[in-house]
Amino acid sequence: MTHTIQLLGEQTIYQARQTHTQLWQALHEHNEPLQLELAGVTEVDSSLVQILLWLVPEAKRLGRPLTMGEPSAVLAEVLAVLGLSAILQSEGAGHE
Amino acid sequence: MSEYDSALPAFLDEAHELLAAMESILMDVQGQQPDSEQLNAMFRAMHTIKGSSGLFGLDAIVRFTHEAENVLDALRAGELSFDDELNTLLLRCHDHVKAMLQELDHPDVLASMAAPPLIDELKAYFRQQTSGDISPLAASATEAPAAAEQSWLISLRFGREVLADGMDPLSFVRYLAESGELGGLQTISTQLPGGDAFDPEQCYLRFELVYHSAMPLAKLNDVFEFVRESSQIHIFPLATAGRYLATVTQGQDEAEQQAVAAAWQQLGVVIEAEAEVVTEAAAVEAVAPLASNLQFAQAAKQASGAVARKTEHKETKTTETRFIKVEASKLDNLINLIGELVIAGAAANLIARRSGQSAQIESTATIATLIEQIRAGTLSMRMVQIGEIFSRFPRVVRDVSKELGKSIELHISGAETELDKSMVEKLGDPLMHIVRNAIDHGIESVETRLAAGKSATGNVWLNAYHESGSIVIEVADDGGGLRKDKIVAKAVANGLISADAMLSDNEIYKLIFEPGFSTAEQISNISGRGVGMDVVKRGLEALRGTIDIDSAVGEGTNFRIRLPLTLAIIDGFLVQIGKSTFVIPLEVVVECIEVPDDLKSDGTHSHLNLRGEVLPVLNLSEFLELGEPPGKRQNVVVVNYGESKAGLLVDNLLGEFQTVIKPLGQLFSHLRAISGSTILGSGEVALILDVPALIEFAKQKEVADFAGQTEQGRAQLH
Amino acid sequence: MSKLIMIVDDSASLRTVVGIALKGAGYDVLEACDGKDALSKLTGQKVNLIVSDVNMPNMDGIAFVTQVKQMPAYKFTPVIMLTTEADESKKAAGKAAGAKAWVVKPFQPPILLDAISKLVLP
Repeated sequence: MTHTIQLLGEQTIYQARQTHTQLWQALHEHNEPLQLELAGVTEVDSSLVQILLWLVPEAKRLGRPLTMGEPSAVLAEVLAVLGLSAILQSEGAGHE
Repeated sequence: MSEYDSALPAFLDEAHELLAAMESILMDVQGQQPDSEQLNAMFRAMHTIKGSSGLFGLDAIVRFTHEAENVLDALRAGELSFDDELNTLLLRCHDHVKAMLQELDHPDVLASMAAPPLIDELKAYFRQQTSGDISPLAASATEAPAAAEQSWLISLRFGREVLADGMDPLSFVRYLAESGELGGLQTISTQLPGGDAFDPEQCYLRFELVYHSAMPLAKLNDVFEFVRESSQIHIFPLATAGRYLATVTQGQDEAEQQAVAAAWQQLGVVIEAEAEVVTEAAAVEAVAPLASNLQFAQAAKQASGAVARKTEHKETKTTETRFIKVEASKLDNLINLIGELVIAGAAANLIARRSGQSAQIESTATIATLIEQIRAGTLSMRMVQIGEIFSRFPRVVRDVSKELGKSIELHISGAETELDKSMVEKLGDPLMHIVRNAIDHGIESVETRLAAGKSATGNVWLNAYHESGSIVIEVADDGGGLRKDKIVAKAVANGLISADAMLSDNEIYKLIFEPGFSTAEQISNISGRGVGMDVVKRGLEALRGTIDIDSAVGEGTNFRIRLPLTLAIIDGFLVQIGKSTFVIPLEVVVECIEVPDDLKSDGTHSHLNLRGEVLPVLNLSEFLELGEPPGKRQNVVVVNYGESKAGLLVDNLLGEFQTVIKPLGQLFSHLRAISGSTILGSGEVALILDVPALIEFAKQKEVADFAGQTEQGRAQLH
Repeated sequence: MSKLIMIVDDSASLRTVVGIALKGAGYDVLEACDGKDALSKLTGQKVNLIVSDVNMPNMDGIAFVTQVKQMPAYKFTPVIMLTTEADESKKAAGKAAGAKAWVVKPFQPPILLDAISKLVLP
């Protein structure tokens, strides 16, 4: 079993607190591998980028396998601009 | 500026409104200190006009209003005190801006008006009062010439708060990408804490990027102006960037320093050995954000106090009227449509009543009530306060009395009285003539007044009020009064009347409205050119208005103008004469009585004894030559207009009816007893009786009867 | 989806001109004539950026921004203040209240457009 979280719609500073809390709980309150779906994200700013930058090492630190699904076009573009496309496949993500 | 031309009328409207507000404040304060609200309003007038002019590229207006705004700002801040001299200067600023607005179509003229001598006077005044200088307007940011494309290294270490401030670091990168090419970007997140220390609303990012663009350095610097205070921004030419690594990582931890160095290498920056040597210029730049942060914190402290006080003050004043500007023609269309609706509603009502079905009658009655409310509401939209015109007069009185060396006080009352907007526009000129006339001819010179035992200061009163469906505007003065003997002598000399003419007081007074009449012994340039008062008469007649004059020698004169409230729709009273239906405006109807037995039926004209008051009665059937036999039971409709009453003899009374006035057209314009027509619910046309003209006729007949000249009045009417 | 920009200014002609410019650039526009009016129009819809004058009747720009920054739905919305260069203290007060960006009046439309596009591209 994996625990799946889907991020949808706008993911900007307005949702950052809530998204962060959701992911924090997923890391701390479940034991299954974490699957993060990013295909439904329609609006992004730096705050989501930061959350991803936090999530990857945090999952690794807690020993929780993390996989991230295909990003939406919007998110993919942002990550590409920032030179961070690799983070979706970083070591912490644990390829399966 | 063409794409914004459609906003120009709104700009002009707004500017004139602001100017009017400013003028009225300047007139109001006369010798007193304006309160902070008034100062704010005047400041805002110049400030807003400056701002909007800037949008349209009207630089001349911007330059001029900037100076006035500065003076008002200093006044607001208490650096200047308000006195008569400043009052006059500001009034002249108002005039100048107004004059500039007239010249929008003539850019050359406008440009020449940007710096009139008035500006030097303002500056001189400012200097004398504050021993300072008006802060000059910064040269408008001219587009820097496009530079050749250059390569830059940009180091952006964002402040923690930028995200919460609504500024997304990404947006600046996107902006850069719009006008240049990103040659690589490295994101550094060593500041981003792991675990629970991470706050998703704080910003921990740092971008190091290479940028190729023709954007001049100044503009490039400006890209980050909104985050400069909270962030550390560095921009170097790519070729020499390598020597500044120490500068951009100064004070940061080992991990970050290494990450930046790695990023620069990734970006192809050759880090130079002498990197440790921080050049002086760079050091200054690095320190500057710190200093400005300090200043900022202080300013913020002061400001938050100011904000608290401000909100307190504002809360006391919450009930302000808000306005929507609507194009007048849209409102006119709406009123026309409602006119049609009124007619259609009346028709439905008639049919319902004929059908005798109570449900139908009831529902049409409900609709009729609603239509009535819509009608009243729509008409009220056209109603504006007469204060709009009155507010010009303090200025006029001030200017004119100064010019004539007279001391005059103006008293305004009833400024909130409402009348139709279209009338307001046409009323301005006639009223102006009367007021000027009162100041020039009415009020005597100071010596004459003192000799007559009057106060040196003359008084002029402007008053407005509603009276039986009309608006009455009075212009009174406590001057010398009209000299009947002089008027008659002048009129005889000018051939207006014959030397032996017998005229009532009112008729004599009205001679001053004849073309070419002027009694002033000295011709001044204010009035007394013999033109003007006849303009008044014509102007008022066009508005279906009348004017009465009361005067007493040595005590003063009172001009009383009476105008209908609106020109579009009236409440009518339907009467039947023979087979024809006529409308009498309801507002003039006093009462209706059955024809008493003692009414002598001697043709067109007779008398009625109404509770001891003798009224002339006009037989409309005879007068209008309808050629129909009188009905069995006749009625008299008692009407009044101004101070006159008369009875109108009709056959049947049909009741109230809302009437949309349709003009009669050129062909019938000479008919003075008929003021218009309307369409009844049945589709029939009914004529609207011009009651003032009828009353006039009835009175004349009365006089003529007396003199045994029966036909004269009628000849005048037809 | 176009970005929605709110313009708050007591000058109708300024709002009209800015409105034309913004729409021409591809933004959607929401107008308000003062702080009070603007607050009444912030009813939960997404507003990407607010441009607000400082000097306004009823509720001035500083008081308005202070309130906006307390509304959960708008506290992160960037605000551009329209200031005058003479008014450094107002600019500082605006920044303290949460309006970190500014454009100096008088300006021509492209200047404001440029400032907006630094924060929100259409």
